[in-house]
Amino acid sequence: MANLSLRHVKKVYPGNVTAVKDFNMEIEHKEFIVLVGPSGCGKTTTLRMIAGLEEISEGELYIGDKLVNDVAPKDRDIAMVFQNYALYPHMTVYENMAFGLKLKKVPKAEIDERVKKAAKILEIETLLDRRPKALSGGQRQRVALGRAMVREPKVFLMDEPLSNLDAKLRVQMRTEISKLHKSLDTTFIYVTHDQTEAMTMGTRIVIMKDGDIQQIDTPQNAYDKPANLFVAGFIGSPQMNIFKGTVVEEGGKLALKLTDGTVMGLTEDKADKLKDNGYVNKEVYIGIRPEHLHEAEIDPLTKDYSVIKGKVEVAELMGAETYLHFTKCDKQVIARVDAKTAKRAGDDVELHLHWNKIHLFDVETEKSI
Amino acid sequence: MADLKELLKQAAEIIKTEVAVITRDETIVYPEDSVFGITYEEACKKAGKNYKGFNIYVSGTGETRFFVCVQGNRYHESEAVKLIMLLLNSVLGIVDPAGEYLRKALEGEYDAAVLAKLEECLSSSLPGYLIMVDNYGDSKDDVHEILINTMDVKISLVHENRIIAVTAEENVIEACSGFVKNVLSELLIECRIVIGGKAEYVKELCRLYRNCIDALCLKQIYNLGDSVLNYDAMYGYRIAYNLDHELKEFIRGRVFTEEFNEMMNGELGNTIEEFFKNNLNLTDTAAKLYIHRNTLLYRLDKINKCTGFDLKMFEDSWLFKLAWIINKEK
Repeated sequence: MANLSLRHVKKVYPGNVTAVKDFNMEIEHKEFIVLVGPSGCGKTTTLRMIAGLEEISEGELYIGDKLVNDVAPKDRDIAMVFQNYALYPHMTVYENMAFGLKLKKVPKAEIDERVKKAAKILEIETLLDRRPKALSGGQRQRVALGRAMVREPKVFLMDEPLSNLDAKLRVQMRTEISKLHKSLDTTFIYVTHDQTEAMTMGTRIVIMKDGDIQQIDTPQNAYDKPANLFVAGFIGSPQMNIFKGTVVEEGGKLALKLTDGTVMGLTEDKADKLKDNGYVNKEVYIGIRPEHLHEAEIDPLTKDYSVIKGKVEVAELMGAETYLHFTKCDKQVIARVDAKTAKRAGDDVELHLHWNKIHLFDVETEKSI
Repeated sequence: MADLKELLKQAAEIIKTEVAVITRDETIVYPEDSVFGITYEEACKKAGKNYKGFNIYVSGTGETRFFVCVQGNRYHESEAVKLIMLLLNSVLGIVDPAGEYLRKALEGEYDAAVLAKLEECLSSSLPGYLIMVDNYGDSKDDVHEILINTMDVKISLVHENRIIAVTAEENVIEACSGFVKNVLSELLIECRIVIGGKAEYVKELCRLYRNCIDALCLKQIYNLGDSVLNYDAMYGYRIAYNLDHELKEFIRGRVFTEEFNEMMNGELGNTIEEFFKNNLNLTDTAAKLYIHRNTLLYRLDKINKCTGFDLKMFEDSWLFKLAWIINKEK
């Protein structure tokens, strides 16, 4: 069992540069946690503090019930897979995987058992006699994973392990790592800058920015209910369209008015919330996901919707869908519509938006309303 | 050959350790009828030390196997005795003659007679690159083991808490980088390795050793994060260090204005570091920073507007790099 507890963990580098501000999180055994955020957000520093490669400036880190702040990395019962890894060029795959255990003086029979077990899970049994030179990039990455697996650690730490692979292989390895997590009785903590990796692999994701946690949630919740404007923009591809608008009261009902005069309705729940919190006649940020804009001609909504009009500037055919780009209120907008659309650059387009798909954020705090 | 076999047999009884001697034609001399599952070539790769034609893989103590690779199939009695002496010394941890000669060569205090002796004893390890492993915590033996399994190490010793070795690797930078990664993966230790340069002759080893020490000092002075330091590639730092103090101040003041220092507090510092690391390549730098190429161009433009240095231009970039180095000096 390896649950982790990070309590008010902080990292300050010399020169008073704070890389991680106040990291609080409880990680359950066998969870797959993904730390995600733009470069410089503190995700790798957090992982390195868990590994023991970076000293914790303040706070406490527990692995299981043990406080490990001052425990050497090798004694933390963890294994780490890095973006840049190397294999022993003169050793076979089997020897590469066994080497770490040999150093630890693990009995030969046990080494053999562990290597073969890991090789089976990673489906590299047939490669055990090969040398690294004779392996493809993906196979080498599996051997690197296998080398960590044979240690049977309590916690697996992975720092952008797929970044050096090409796009196709990255997608394949993403699935492999998810499968690996399911087959092992181990906690995974994974760092990536790629929100797609985070969304597809994590049981929970931690979205970070400037050393702060922005949101800890399941991928679906982070997508459906972003805690703030940053998360709303970071999670989702293409990213959420953001406008500034004013909460107005028209005919006893609340609505949102964009700077070009477009009016959008609100669900009763949302309207009540805005009213109760004093947002009437105040500005708010309005977030709309590209896939929630439906083309009126081929995929119309029937009730509780608003109409957004625009002139298509670019139509990107993606195969399964089409991205329509247009400008609204001086902002670039993307609508992700059905591939059946006939709209092309220069065409006028009318899009439907269901009221319950509108995200609202406070202009000052940028927090979700 | 019979003598060697007999001596090895006796030696194995004394040291209570299994010893395998593998000849070039892959006849295992001793123990007879043993299956070690290793070829001559593989055993040589594992064998880190080379002494007068013998490659000996010495690993820990106790039940660990020792591979002794002999290059020919016929050995004179005197050579067999030397081999056994070396083997016994290594196992009992008394003296490693080759290591001792290397230590003497690094110290550089010898007369012509001693130099002749050193050349005789170390010539089989040269030419090679002198490398130094630093910051390995309390895992000296494990780190050494990883070293000899990652690259072709001809001779090595522990000197002043550092592992010093001569390697015959052709692509020494790549090999060193692989070694550092392996130590990190296996032991979770972020060690450093310094390449002092290539030695053709024994008398060069002392200078290369000093290069290694200088490289570590420069690392400290300029707060370098690199885990592989190649002294020969550290010209910029060496020049900056030796510049006149007033000139340093002038260059520093020219670039690091108050406005620029304020800008530097954000992501700009990291951008500049990466841009230099990637040899001013826009595409590679953008990929490394996970930003769009245009974002990188925008940031470089901001630096240009603030300092007057266009980092995409060679003339501007080298002077800026010099100022950048000077500003890091402790």
